[in-house]
Amino acid sequence: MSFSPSIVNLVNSLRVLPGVGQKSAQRMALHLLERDRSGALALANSLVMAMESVKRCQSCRTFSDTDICPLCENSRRDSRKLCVVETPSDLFAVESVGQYDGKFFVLMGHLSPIEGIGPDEIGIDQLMQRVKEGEVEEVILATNPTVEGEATAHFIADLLGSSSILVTRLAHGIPIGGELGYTDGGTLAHAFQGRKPL
Amino acid sequence: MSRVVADEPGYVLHSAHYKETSVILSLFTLNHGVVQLIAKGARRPKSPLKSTLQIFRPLLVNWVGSGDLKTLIGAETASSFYLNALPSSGLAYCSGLYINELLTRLLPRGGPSEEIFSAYVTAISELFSTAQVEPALRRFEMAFLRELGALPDFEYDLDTGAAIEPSRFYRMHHHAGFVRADEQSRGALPGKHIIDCCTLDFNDAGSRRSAKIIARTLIDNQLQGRALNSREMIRKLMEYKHG
Ligand SMILES: [Zn+2]
Repeated sequence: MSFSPSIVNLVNSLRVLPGVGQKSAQRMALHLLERDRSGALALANSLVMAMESVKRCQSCRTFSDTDICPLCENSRRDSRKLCVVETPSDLFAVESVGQYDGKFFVLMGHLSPIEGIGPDEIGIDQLMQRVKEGEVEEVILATNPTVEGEATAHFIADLLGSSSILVTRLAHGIPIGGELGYTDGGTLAHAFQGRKPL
Repeated sequence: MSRVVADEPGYVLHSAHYKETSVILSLFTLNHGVVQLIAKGARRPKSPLKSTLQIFRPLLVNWVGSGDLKTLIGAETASSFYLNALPSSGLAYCSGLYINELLTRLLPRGGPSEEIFSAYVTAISELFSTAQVEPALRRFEMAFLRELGALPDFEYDLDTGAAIEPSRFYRMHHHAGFVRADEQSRGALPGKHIIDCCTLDFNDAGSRRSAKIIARTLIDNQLQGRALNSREMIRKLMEYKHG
């Protein structure tokens, strides 16, 4: 079966979405054409608006419509605490717990020299500048518990080593509902290192 | 017919996300050099491979395939790795990432090598257990360069054939060896440092400095203009630490 050029174009465009292959893209395109043209137009509009207006917050590097994002602007957030995460989705994850009341810094990745991602790409100078401005008393390193995430956390901790700032790292351990026998050795080793007196 | 490789010792040098749930690994192995593998489903939330396929971790890997991209069929952590804690210094991590980058950029030309594999195992365990990363790095670089056939003659003066003397000065010549040089001239190195480099004796701070210059010159020559990003990372770390 051959589609008209506009449909082919739409199918190809839909394939930029994560997890969407040729088949699903076709299904989506036909669905939108058959049943939901107004939804599709709204989607097209939102895409244009977001792509044109979303930039990076000048203070924390997360995605934002404004130069400074609402979270950084919020005076009720505790500026003495700065939580460093790898991606905006990590920021959302911490926010959704609703327990943390400090501010964020988003690296947009982790150190990976083989991929050409070094200190400049993850905004290290900007982070150090932010810390130097003086309000921050604790830097919470919430990079992922992968070796690259650890490396990035230790890299930042080393840079902050000479300052009087408290540097903390999220604890990693056995997941709630997990069983020791089924926990992988790396997690178990970390949990042992991070054990606490009761 | 597809070939199955079983229980191959190896280390992940680098892994890149592939599609929604998979990764493509660059695996440094004992018998097959650097191999590219696809690990299907390794990024699914419950995949045990997620925690296994970490860099710097000794693995036993099974794969199948005959093309450039093999398919991973299983991997487990080798031996008593968990007893060794991961390092707690940025410099140790950066040094490990540097070695991984070195292998990624230069090893494919060298093919499999038991000597380099064993030097890698030693270097990683040394880096992760000592505060002094430089001697471990230099020992690895020298072993690596030797296997690439890129080590200069450390023992005899290229011009005269006379043994390198500890108290005289030399400079590197065409990356092949050393010739006599004026003490004040650019790039002049004491003979003692060259001999220490040959015997991998890095106790002396001066020898460590010279060995670093020698290794860097030789590696740059192998890289033929390609950059090593991890060097920049280490430079930045030092810059912040020392002012
Ligand atoms: Zn912000």
